[in-house]
Amino acid sequence: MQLEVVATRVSTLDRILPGGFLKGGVYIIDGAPGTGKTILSSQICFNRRPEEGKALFVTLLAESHTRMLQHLRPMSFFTERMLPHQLYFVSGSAVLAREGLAGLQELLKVELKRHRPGVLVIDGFAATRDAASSNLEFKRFVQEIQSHAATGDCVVLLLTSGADGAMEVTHTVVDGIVRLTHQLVDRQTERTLQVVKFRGRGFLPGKHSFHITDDGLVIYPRVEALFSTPSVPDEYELSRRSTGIEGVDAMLGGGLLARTTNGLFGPTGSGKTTFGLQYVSRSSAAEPGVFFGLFESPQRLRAKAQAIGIDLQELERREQLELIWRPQGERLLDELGHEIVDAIHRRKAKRVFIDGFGGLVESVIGPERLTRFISSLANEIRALGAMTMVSIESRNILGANMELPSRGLSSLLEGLIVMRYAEVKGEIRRLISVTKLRDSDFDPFLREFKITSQGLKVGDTMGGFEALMSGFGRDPRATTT
Amino acid sequence: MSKSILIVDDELDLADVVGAALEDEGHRVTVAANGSEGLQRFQEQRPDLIICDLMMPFMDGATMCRQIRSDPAGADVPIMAMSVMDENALKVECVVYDAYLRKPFRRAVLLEAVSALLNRTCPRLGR
Repeated sequence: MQLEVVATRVSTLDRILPGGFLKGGVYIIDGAPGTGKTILSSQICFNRRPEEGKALFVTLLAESHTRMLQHLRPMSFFTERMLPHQLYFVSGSAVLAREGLAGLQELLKVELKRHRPGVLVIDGFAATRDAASSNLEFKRFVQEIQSHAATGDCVVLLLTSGADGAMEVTHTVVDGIVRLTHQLVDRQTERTLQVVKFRGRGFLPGKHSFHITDDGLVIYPRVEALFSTPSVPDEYELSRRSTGIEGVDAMLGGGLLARTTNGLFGPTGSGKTTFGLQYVSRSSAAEPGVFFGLFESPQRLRAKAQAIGIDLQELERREQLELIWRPQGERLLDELGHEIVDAIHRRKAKRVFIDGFGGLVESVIGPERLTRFISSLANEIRALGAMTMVSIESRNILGANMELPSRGLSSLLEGLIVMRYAEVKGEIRRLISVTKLRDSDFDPFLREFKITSQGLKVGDTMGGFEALMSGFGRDPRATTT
Repeated sequence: MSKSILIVDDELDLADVVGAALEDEGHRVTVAANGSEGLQRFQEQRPDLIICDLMMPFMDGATMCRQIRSDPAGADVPIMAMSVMDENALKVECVVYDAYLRKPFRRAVLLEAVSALLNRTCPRLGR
């Protein structure tokens, strides 16, 4: 028999859980105080549609539900008119204190019969363990809740606070456990949601980052888990697309390949953002573009583009280009990943510029996952039909030791264009080269380029000079003394 | 003058705070933890004023108040509802209450509302 699913409609939780919780199931939402359990379960209750039946919220906490609702009221999901007919709050703490577990059992029995809820939340569930005279009594209580859930087609959410050996008996019998955590990493708080157990269906494993906002929990499923295989089948496309720079297109044999991920690597000030502006200037109705920047605001980008004769605002007005600026602040890696993918979906984008990789690196908590993250994200973007260019800043301004900032990155990129400086006869010159273009031939020469009032202009090779990649060009014909 | 007041609320901490404020004013206070217990206390004690929460286990405030109103002894007893809910969302049910206080409220607001109800000379509207 197919198990019926009850959607939570909380951010992306229904992608992490297999569509939601299972009807008739008992689940633990576990986490230390302040991790967001009450907000999450309230969101689930408030998100229910009238035809899905009522939700019943029983609190056993010292904190009154008056106070709790006072804190929830400013949140966007709080819907006043749902109280009391669609969502009913009762306190069970007095009954539990006076009559123990038996009293609470009676309360639940009466309330479940009275309201016939589709969702029952018991906040502060650990208090029931404290009230039980023995393990056996507690176990029987949990079993009774399970039978109420099963016979009443009700999803039961038990909110518990952190690891507690005494609660283990519950962990073994419930149908699932969702764990919320928050931890300080350096000076940043990382909140995560993890499905530890879920009977009867698969789920997205691992720890998923989330924020608590005025909209409640906003969850970002781990990119590597969600896009471990792309959401749509990938297609190989042989067509080439312009980089927006004629000289670079010539070096690439006509442009970059559609549906590929490419790197633009170079030191600060070498012209990567200008390159990006020219790249997205080729956005069109047939090939909508997205410029996803972590450093420069849209206003600055528009002004910068205008200075080289590119009218970004016109492209934006025609809805052929979207400029997205996500200043780093407290943003999380998965948050950025999802925003990129969402923008591609929203615009049906075929041309994406990410400025830049360094911002993504700095948003990562747990750097060991970076390569897998980029790989999964790139696979998804490719499958969605977009050609991507990512600007990557080199640590060194000059010299031969230009190393990509992340191990494994080069193998993920299908094309790599390198911009560099070289000192030639006391003058700093800008050079560009194609280092990699998968499955294609390309111009192997280092070429000089200039940033002009029309943007990047690629010129000739630096014929006659050698050792340019060391950063110091040498004319072998010059006599040394 | 000392009056007898019945407070019905499943949040006992809050009921105790309200009760203490009223006792300070010289009133006699009884607390019940839910609607059915409140109904029982009403029948036993015939209080001069009832202050009740709306969302409670076993019997909600509205049901309790309707039952009290259907009893001739309770037809005129002043009832003040108190809840976290928006009064506008409860308009239909408000017919059984004489006053409404939205939780949380300040002590002064509570005492003023209680005093107004206890000093009321005219019968309930809607009778």
